[in-house]
Amino acid sequence: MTGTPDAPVNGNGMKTGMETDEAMAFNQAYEKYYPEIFRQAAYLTGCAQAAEDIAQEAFFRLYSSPPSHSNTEAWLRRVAGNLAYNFLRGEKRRRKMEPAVAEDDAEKVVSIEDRVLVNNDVRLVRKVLANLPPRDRMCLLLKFSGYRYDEIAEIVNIAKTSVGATLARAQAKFRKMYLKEV
Amino acid sequence: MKCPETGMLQAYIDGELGIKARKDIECHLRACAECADALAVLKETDDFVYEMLSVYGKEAAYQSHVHGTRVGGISAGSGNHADSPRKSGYGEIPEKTASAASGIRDVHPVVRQKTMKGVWNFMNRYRKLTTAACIVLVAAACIIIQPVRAAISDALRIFRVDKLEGVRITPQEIARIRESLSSGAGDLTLENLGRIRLTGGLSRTVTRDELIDSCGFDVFIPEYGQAPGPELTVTEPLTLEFALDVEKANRVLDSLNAPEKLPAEIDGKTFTVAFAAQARAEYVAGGKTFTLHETTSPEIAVPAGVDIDSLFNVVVKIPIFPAELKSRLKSVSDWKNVFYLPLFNDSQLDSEEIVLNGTNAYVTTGKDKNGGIHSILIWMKDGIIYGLSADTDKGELLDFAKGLE
Repeated sequence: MTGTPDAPVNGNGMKTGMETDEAMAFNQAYEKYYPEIFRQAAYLTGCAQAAEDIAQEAFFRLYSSPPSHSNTEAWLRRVAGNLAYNFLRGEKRRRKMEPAVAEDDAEKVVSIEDRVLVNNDVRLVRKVLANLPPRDRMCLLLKFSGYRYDEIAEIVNIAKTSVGATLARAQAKFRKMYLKEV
Repeated sequence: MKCPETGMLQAYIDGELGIKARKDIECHLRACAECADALAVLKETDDFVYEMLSVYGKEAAYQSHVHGTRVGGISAGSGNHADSPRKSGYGEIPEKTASAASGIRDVHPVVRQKTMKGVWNFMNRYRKLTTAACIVLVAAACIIIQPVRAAISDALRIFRVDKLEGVRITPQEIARIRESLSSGAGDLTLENLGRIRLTGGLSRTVTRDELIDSCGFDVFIPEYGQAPGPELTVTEPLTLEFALDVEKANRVLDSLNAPEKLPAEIDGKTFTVAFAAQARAEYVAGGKTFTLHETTSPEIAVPAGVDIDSLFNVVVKIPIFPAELKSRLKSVSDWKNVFYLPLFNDSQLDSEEIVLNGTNAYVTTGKDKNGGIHSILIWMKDGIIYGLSADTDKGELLDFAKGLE
């Protein structure tokens, strides 16, 4: 990664819009959380390129309008989750317009060069995930990467009291579809 | 309380309920068999999805790593819910746990790691064609090789290789194999025949000293003329465990018109192929990259209760087994501890047996339909298997080989 985004400067070359302390805090947050946020985004979207964009965007937002509360990490995860969900829904729309692409599309991040004995299970999981409705897919991925019900509810835009039922259905669907593929 | 809804049971599993709600449910579950059953099904599904996504998660972490971004840690994200902690991961040995609902065998999912390049890459590039060759190799390796030493326990018999020999496969045999595979068995891979598990196999760049330390054998890294020192990589030992699903395998054998079936006793039993560390040295000469691979014999462990001889008999009778190999096996003379390398001669692949500094060596050149060309030279000396590969023709490869020693 190439480091932090360029800070806006005024005519004297001094950083504006951010005190030095805040700049330091941002750098610290970047160092500390960027890898995890990137990895999180990669897991949720299944696409390293999208993950990079999402991570960058999340940190850009942190930089330009930092949240008032102190739990930066949770805030970053929330933003990343939202962006990932947007990506997934956009992807579904794009895929609808190019029906022929289907499975390969879901695997777009994977560079096959180093792959020899491709893990069949992973391929199947990707396929099943790609064929789930975006909301179900997102709920599953969020849950299994450690998001709590309230976070899931916010990102996916359902009532917190519905999360359990949604998950139960999505999990059953996943399992059924997976076993059909095997 | 009334029977809780599915959503609430799921929330209970996920540790999202407050203490009171949790206690209420537990109390209810003790009294209500239906809900207890419903919970069990939900839990089973939950575990299933967890396992599958864990594998996926590790893959995402790996791909993040490969993508070149700094990533802290490889562990897949896993929620730590205080109330109902999720499971921590796989056991070490694949276990059979029958999945009640589906009847499939749940050997633990594969932990996919970066695997060896070189020889494997070459085989993979011509995957469809060499699938048959692979079957031959695996079958040959598992069955022809005699046990060299007694097992540590009676549970395993270990096989190793001392010699490399080439076996011709004719274009007609390849065509026949291709036809059998495409009409009957579909995409025949090890994965379709059962379950595989890979562990280890990570590569890293090393210095000469580190390389010598990491390899359990006497690594030899020659210089090549004036070229700068080669870039050195070591791939840590890779272990491949596979358990055959005898039913699936026998169906495949059926479609190949095999006269005999695999014995039921091997169903689900785990065969282990333990590959040694592999050293890799990349040289650049004349604008091309030449890669020298070195490794020692893999060890194949066959589980107890498996009758190797009857297994051998079944496999050898499969019609696609190349004629020359069959006749070699029949002439008992020197087939112990031998690894049979397939040799081809058709429009795509061309193999030749040569002598390199007094040792038998085999060079195979493959051309793909885009005009790409790739050659690989394999020989074995003093217990070490050498491979030299490059995107070039046989002549250039051999020239380079001569320039090495």
